[in-house]
Amino acid sequence: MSEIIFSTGSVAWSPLMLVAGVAIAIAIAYLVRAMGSNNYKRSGEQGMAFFSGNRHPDDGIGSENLYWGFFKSMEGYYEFMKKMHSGIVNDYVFWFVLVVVVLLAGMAFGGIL
Amino acid sequence: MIGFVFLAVIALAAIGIYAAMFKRNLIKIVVGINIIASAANLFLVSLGYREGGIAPIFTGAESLNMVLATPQALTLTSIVINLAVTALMLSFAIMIYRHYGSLDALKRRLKE
Amino acid sequence: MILENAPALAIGIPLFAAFAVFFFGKLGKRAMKVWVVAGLLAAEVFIIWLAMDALSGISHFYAVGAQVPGIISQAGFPVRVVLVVDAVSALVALVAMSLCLLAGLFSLRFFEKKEGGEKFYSLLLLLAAGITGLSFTGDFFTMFVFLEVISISSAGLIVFFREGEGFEAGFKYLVLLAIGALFLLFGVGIFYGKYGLLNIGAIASLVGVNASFIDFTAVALIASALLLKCGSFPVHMWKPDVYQKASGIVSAVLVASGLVGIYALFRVLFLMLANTPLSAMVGWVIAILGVFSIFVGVTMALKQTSLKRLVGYAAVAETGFVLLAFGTGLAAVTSMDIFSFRAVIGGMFQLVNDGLDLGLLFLLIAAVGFVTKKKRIGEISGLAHKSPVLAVLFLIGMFAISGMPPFNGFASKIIIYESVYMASPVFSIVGILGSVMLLAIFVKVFVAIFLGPPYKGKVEVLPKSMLLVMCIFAFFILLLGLFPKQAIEGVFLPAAKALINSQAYIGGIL
Repeated sequence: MSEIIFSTGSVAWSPLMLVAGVAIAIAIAYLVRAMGSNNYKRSGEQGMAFFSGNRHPDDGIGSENLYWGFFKSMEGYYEFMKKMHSGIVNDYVFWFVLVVVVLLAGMAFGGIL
Repeated sequence: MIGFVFLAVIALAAIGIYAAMFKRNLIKIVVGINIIASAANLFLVSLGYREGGIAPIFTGAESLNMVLATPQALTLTSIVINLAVTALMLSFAIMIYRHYGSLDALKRRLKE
Repeated sequence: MILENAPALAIGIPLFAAFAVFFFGKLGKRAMKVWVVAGLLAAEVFIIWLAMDALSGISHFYAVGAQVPGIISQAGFPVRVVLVVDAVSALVALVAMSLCLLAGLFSLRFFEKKEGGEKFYSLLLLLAAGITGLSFTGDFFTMFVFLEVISISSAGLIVFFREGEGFEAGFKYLVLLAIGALFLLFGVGIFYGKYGLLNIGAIASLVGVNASFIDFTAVALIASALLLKCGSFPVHMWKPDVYQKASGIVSAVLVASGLVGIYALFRVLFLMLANTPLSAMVGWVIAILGVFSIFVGVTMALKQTSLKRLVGYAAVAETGFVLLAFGTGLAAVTSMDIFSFRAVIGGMFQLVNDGLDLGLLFLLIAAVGFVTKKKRIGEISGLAHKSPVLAVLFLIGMFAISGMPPFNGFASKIIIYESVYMASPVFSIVGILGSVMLLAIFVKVFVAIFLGPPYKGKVEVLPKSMLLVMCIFAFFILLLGLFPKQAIEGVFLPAAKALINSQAYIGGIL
């Protein structure tokens, strides 16, 4: 059994046991589903997604709207990030020269001290 | 003074970095990179200098006090590589001009 | 006799094949495809043979062009260019060449109706040769040459389909990499000026004796150039542009070149800074840069609408994990306690998983584009009804990259979370947050592309070769995930030991 138990410093788990557990859970879920009724029509009202009573939009819901709350609360951070990733080559060269200067200062003066 | 070469290397590298960082025309950025390459090549060749040395060619040499030959080989390799990179960058600049209509670095479409 | 020269042949065969592809292209498409696969497969066989030797402890040091390639230093210092194949460089070369081979197999059907196939394959073989050369090299100037070979050939591959925006991405990439390589040349020149040697191992042994201000300047220049190559935080901006505009196949091979860049960076840093007090500071700086890469990569990826750009930002985040792990290991290299060693093992595992997961995702995007002939994510939805195989493969790739059990991402990431917790708990927290947000990003992508009402357009049949390649990726993802203990003991432990142990490397050279 210790062959298949993967232990890091403080955690031990076995991937095969997890797969077995998930397989058992899927089997139980399938059994429960098979006990339902199967007079279910794919087309028509029963097959459409539920929009809380609103009208079904014609061209689908985009997934960009999924994380609106996150984007709204981090607006300042995203403004700064948009300025940083401006797409201009000169800014990119500036960031590289900044990295060189920081590493040089750190290493050269760290070596002297 | 021997150390004068290294001051020239630093000055050339600074000019090249300034051109790459602050110039908006794409061709000027390519020229800036070429200047940095010239600085690197000058640095490499000047590392091999020995006082009073002659060119490192054995046939018909007057004395055996020669400058080092390895940095000259490294510089040749570097010149050829930078030639290839410059040619490729200039061809990209031509195609950008053909598609975008301008060579301005600020008129970019890939951002964020 | 042939096997004795295996390191040089592993670089030389794709190089020769790259130039001979044009001749075979004249003979017909079939001959060209056979030649390309044969070239990549031959190099892969040599690298597998070298990796099997190296991972069981036998390192090969190869002097290029010598009569007896095994004898490196006759006069006390190495004279020729030396190729070093020890456990970690063989592992990195194996991952990179496997990615190139699988991407090459994938692209065989991609070019059925398009022109210019032989130019693509020539550039791809040249890129494979360059990546293998960068991972085997033991010499600084050869590192510069192969770095430039990689940048030129990958720039050619990025702009291959000649759209205007592709040229913009290629221009930015080439400008940044050219400047980076020139700074590397400055650093190499400084080392040459002080020691008169170009060999990494020989210089490392001399630096260890009395390190001074000049040495650290050179190491700083070389390290920043290699940080640019692997795409860490402040200089990562070329990655999303490039991954967006390159085809999915090219992006998979570019992931391999990023991994080799990380390997080269840490090889130089572990060798040069082994006995100096600077290793702690540099290790912390790189770990902090890694943490920022994770955070910036993941948060910017949430906002993207273009699929390949999103996976490009996720690639920045994955590179951040590897940098975090290796940086923590570097910070404690003088007093290697068990947690720092585990961090290096975790980083090595994450490096391999990076290649597998990102390779699978990029090839999947290329397959989706091939099957539906659409380019933008907003136009495709509900693809799971028409091709469920792609949906399952995307689920596997998505769970693997965000570190869900039982896939390989979980095994490597949990080692990283635990071991960097000892360095600073903030690193671990940001790492876990990053993984969760990666899952969030890819759930959004999965829902957008695969779920929903059935796709109304025409869906072509996925060719068998593409499906086979993606299933090979999924197989290795599952294999590494289900048997992580055996994988660590057999592969990643020797590789981590070879990376940290600078004495073994220097002893092999001198």
